[in-house]
Amino acid sequence: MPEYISVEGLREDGRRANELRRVEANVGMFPHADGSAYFQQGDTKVVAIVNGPKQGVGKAGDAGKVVCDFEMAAFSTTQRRKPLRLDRKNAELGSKIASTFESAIMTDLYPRSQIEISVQVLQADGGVLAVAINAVTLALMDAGVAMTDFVCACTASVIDGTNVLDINHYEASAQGPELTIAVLPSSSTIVMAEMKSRVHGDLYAGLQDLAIVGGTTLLPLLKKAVHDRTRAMLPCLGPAA
Amino acid sequence: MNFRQTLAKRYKQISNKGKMASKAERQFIANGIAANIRCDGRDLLDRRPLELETGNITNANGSSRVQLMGTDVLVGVKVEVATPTDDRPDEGMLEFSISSSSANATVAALDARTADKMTRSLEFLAEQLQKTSHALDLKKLCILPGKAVWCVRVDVLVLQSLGGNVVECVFLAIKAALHDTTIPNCTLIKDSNGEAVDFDISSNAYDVSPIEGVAEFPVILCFGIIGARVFADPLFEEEECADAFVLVGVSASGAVCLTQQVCAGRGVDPTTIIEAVDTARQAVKGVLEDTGCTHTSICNADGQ
Repeated sequence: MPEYISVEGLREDGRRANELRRVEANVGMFPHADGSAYFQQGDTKVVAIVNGPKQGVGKAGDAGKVVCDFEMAAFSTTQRRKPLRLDRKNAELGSKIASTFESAIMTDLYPRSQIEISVQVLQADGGVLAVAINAVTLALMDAGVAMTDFVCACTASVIDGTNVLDINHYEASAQGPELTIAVLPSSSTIVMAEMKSRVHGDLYAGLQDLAIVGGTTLLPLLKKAVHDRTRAMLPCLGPAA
Repeated sequence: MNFRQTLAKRYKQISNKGKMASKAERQFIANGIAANIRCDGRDLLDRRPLELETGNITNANGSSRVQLMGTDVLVGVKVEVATPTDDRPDEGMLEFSISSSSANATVAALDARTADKMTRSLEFLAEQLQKTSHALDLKKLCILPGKAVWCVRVDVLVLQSLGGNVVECVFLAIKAALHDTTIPNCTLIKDSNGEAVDFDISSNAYDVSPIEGVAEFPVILCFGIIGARVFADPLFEEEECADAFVLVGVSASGAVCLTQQVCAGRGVDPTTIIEAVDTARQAVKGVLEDTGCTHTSICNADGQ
């Protein structure tokens, strides 16, 4: 059996149990999009693009609608996966992301309009949904969409009796439960939680706490990315008044 | 048409950022081209600086990304063992699949059908390029005749296209990704008669070799034509009002292996096309040297 956590308490990639992977963010790299962001956590790389708010399609509602297109590149996974036009798994992840952000975006401010999000996964190495949510947060910030808070997402799992944070693809093969949680850090509210495996009831609370801690730790990193982008844009305003 | 409909139509025009709204704009660009001035200040045959990186998708065998001021193309190459077809038992496979990301569709207001049409024709061009140039010797991709060959799958993802000149970016990115691609080395297992019966793929990440012949793999250069003027590296706006495009597939040595004229508006004088092909032959060396695609392997993971 492979060893996921060494005797010294280090994981296969050298992290401690409660450590996140290296994070890299790039906001606003697509000049033609209203908002765009690249977010990388370890070897999971995601591009998110936001278009809108624009005129809504279909039934006009009092609150703005959020739609999300989720796509994975054919070369993103270890085994090449031919992209399908209507992929149910992708459609499900897309609607999950859309509903997550409907609870964070102040949709009342955008009546009769629609906010379009597209997520493109360039490389998948575990925690794709969480990384995608973080990328979308940055893209929405770049587009200037009003939100109540950053949405920070993180995964947590149990491997060999230890709770571990932000698992990668290799660690996912340990078949432990993988919990993905999206939080609004300032109010510690959970806006999305997903787990697709069985777990002992006593373990769940610990997993959830760990994932929340992970999400809150991401907040300053996401904030920094937005600040950096804004600082880079400042000269565009012309000389200071 | 009542007021509301007019408003909706106008809104559509504005929200279709990619499409140009006015005739005046077209006229402006066409007049500029006729006077050898383009809207971003370039000369007719000047190219924009492009950014190229390789090896950015670590779980692919080769990858590259080309960015050209608003056009963004990502290529990943995966190499798999496959069973050869009956009619070509000793030839490997090279497959291209090109897709436009939904991220591009939302921004460029492309509907699925238009995007599909664009990518299908690019896929066709890529296949033709390999067929006519014979740059990659598919026989070299054979492991065990009749039993196993390497299948090289090139997946192209167009992330953004509003910078224009998607064709050139796609083919430069394909070439760069193929340069970056490494294939694991194989050892043949022989039986007592000395005949190869099985093979062993090296699991060492450094025991790999590049694809042979990639240096000769051609690229496609795209030229726009307005009136009798040929211009290189078209902007999106210029693509919108060009009379025609000439796509020229040229290899590093300047050999032309494919030409295609795409008529967008009016027809084109034959001499103009010959001018475009000549320009492509002269330009290709500079383009490939700038991107470093003339060497056998531009970027190995271990820096060798």
